[in-house]
Amino acid sequence: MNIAAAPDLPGPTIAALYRDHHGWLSGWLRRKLGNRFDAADLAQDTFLRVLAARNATVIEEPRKYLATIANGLVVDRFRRLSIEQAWLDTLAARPEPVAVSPETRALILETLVAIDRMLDALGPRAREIFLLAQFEGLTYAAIGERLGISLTTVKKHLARALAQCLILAEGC
Amino acid sequence: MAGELPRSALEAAAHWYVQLNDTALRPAERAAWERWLAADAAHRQAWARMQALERRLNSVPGDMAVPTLSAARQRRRRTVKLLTLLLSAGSLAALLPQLESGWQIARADLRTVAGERRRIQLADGGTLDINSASAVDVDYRPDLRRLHLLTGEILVQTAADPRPFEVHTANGIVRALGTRFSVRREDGETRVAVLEHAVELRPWAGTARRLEAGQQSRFDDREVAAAQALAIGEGAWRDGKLIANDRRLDDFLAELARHRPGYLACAPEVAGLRLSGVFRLADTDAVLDTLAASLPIRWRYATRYWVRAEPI
Repeated sequence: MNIAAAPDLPGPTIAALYRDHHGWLSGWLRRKLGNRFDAADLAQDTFLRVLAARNATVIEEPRKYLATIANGLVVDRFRRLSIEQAWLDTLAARPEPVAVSPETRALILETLVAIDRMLDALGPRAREIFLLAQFEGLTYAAIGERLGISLTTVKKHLARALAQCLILAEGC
Repeated sequence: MAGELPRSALEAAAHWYVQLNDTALRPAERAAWERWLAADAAHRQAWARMQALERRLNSVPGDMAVPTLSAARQRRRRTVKLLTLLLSAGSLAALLPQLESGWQIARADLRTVAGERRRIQLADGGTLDINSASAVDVDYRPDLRRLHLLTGEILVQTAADPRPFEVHTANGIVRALGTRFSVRREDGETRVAVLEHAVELRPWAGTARRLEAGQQSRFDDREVAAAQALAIGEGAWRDGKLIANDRRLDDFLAELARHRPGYLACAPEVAGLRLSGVFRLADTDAVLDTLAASLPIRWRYATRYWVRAEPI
């Protein structure tokens, strides 16, 4: 997020948006999550997103707009929780302990969440190809052989997966 | 946020990355990549992003990544299975509003993002078409065939099978009587259009009604509305088309918005303009261009994801 861009912001509009709808949004999130603290955090994050988008002057249906953003954040929160839990389970299942510094761990989890988000947008075939190429270290030819598809198809799916990663990283 | 790169440059960067990592790379291809890189500053920026992505992906140990990702997916799937099970048992009515919320939808068996449509072959030989921004759970058992439509719209072509075929929504059950039909969740209601044969609509707390081919209707938890004739172009999304027949602009844009990420709407001054035509859903940008060329409107873009029609 680029905080230095603040002078461009339609300050009064954002302030009004916050004043008029923050309470409503917190309530909406609380009903949704059943958890006061998460709700407060996410309401805050929602307004940060609005600030970053810098289009508050043109919001026609503020509550609908805020709800859309907040809903995306809720989905993200659950995705993150599931990844963190799965990471712990995977660690626990290993024969010997793995030492990972908190910083590295945070970075890895962040990346896994991003990958997981990207994988959602892919079909099962592209998903499998991406995982085989990136994490199992198989060559394109070996992937093609294993899945019974042509080299061109492997490359096409893989390029799509990587492009999806780049586009998602660009969009948020 | 700063300096958004064109999508095409990012796609090209990913393409070249894959090419360069091929063990069988030919010199001519390498030269072509170098020409691409030299051609445009945006290409070089996109390439730098690709390299940053590579570093980031390589920082994740592969033997941890795959089990973590698949376990996370399973975990999410279990949650939604449990919820839909509770819901179909009708025991936890209090959960219904939550079913609308994004996180269960994110866990659905099959889902599409805005602008995406999918066709699935069902285990019994039937076909399931999933419209843009939709989520469905598939539950086939020895004695029943059941789909849960969580959000969005599906079009079902059932196959002959002794088991009953049902689509469950938050409002009730749509039961197929050997048929082709679409089901859509909208504004807290369930809308059904029958293209062939007939279906039975059964709200959770109301009386069932039969709907014949060529009819459409809607129901909430309690009541089925009176049947109406099918609108022209119903189900055309299955073929990637949106058909408008003297349709209001605001109405048309609401429909088109389902096939496009972000906000798409119009100013009240132009909302009542009418249009007709067959539009291709594969390229919604082109549809917007066509509209601007044929109606007295212009598009105002705040970002790519915020578009509004205004009077010229």
